[in-house]
Amino acid sequence: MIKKKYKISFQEGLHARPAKMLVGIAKEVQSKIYISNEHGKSDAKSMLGIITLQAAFGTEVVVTIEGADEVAVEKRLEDFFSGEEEA
Amino acid sequence: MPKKTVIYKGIGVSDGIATGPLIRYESEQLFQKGIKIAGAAIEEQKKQAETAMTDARTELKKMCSEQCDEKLSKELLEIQIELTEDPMLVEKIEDLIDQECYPADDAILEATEQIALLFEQMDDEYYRSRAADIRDIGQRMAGHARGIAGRGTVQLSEPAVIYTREVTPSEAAHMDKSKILGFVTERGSPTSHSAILARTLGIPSIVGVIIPPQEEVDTVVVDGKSGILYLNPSKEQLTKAKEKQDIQLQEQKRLEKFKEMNACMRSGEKIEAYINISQSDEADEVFTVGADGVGLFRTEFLYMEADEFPSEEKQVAIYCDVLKRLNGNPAVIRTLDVGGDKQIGGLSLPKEENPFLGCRAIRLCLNKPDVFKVQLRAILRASCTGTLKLMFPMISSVEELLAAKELLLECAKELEQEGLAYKVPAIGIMVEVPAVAAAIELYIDLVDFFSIGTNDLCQYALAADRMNPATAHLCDYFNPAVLRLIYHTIQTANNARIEVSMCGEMAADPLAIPLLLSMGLRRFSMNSNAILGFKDIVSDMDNKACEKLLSDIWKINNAKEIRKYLEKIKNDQEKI
Repeated sequence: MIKKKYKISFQEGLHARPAKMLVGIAKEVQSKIYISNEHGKSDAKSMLGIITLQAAFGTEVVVTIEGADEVAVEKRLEDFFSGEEEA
Repeated sequence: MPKKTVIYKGIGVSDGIATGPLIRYESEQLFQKGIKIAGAAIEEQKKQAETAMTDARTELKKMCSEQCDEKLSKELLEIQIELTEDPMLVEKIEDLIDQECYPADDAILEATEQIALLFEQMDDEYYRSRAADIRDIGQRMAGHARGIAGRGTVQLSEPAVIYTREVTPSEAAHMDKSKILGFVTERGSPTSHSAILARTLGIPSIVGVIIPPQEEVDTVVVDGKSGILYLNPSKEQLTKAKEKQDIQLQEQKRLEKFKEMNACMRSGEKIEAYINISQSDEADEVFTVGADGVGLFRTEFLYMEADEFPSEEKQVAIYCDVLKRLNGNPAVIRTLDVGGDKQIGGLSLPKEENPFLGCRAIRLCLNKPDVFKVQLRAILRASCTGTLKLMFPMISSVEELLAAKELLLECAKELEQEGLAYKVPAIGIMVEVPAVAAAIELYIDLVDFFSIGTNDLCQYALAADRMNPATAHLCDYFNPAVLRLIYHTIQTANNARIEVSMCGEMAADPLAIPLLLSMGLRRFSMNSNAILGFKDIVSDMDNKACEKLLSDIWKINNAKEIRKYLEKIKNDQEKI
């Protein structure tokens, strides 16, 4: 299992378009991805869950990745959270 | 016997007049049955819930591919499709069946209601309004669980005005728009789905009207401009409305061609047309009416809606949203413009004897640098996203302007140190205090643009409160002194090659437009619904007519005669 902290670099927060992209990634990969912050913990496959975290620009989220492809997934999430992965 | 005429006043959210029968559209909301299931049925109910979600998804996908040509509707449907397989929702539904012994349909309704309530408590207005999507999908899935397919689809056999509690997104996406004459809803706001959709489709619409169920209604008149709804109008009212409707339709049709055209004078000279907005999504209207950008974004509404001030992040997101929607076209963002007459959440302002002469707008902001800096930082950061221009309201002296600019630079320095991206935008001021208009030359080296605000300029120059019914009539921008202040500002700016525009009510007044063009004004900003008419008037003007008009106006010594003169010009033009 990999546990990492990321800073939200999307101006609009982890909402709408970024949330949709994250759900897309979570559905593609094998690993289970969970995201948490002070508002709670959510399965990355759940758009509703991600939105309820209300993760604003500049705040931090903790991400856990668990599964066979977790190293590759971590790399992808790295790109995603830095804003380099485009839909 | 004719049914009794009743008049309701709501909020007009989409212009135009509609007359026709009223159909009460009860979305036949499904309610929980409130029963509990026994242990043996749990697995069966879970399966049923799963099937209901799959069926709803299949139905939505079919609708999405078959009948959805509008981008807005398609996006809404895609969100709903996503929701039918959302793990959080699935888990909640299963928990309710497993642990609370809910039947499938009740579990779906309860789970979606819980999530909708959660969304309703969020800070972000966008997400608050998504609660309707969630309830909507709950209704659709619960319908499937009860063996009813195709919920949320309005079938109209004849054209009618629709009355409903609230138009849900999927209902809106599937209504036969050719048969909808107008919308009247109990709930909603100018930014709710039905209102946006109504404006996009040009359907007259009113929100905030409750028609009691016992009220018998045959025909209605919807006035989407004034927000007035006539139930069972008298013959006279109906004829009047129909006449008004005919004139509007003809006029709309005639103006339609201007959507694709720039505002150009006869000589071909282009006049820039911008729109005034108070909310980010209104920026889309720039493309609907063929304008050049946003000439005024009134940010005070961000502050009035919430109980607390919008955070820097939230403001960055909103300003970026405007710029993204504009796709490279400029947006002028005006900093907070409030005073003792408007109370805003998060700030208790002392009551003032003369709020319009008191500590308002830039004065208030300079007094509260902590509050002001949040907005300035957000503007500096958002400025990287597109063509943003910053405007300070109610500047009355050079010192004030310099203080505001210094604060802006201080914010830029802070951002630099924090390593956050920013860009210093073009800076402008509102010319709305006579002291600035009279000495406008002192400001030309200090700013990048001017925007004339006629409403305040007028009341300050004429010492007449525009909110006081006893003095409001004195507040006439055709007063020769006000015209001279405006002319002096335009000429000085033009000579110094500094952009000057006007964003007050006067800029959209059909009588004033020819005069302002004559004065040399080349940039106008107004509500989006006035843009097409504006282009029409501009297209009739030529330089020669302008010259004559201006020299005639200077000979007249009072507002009443000036108005009369301009009316005559307008009528003469219409006759041609």
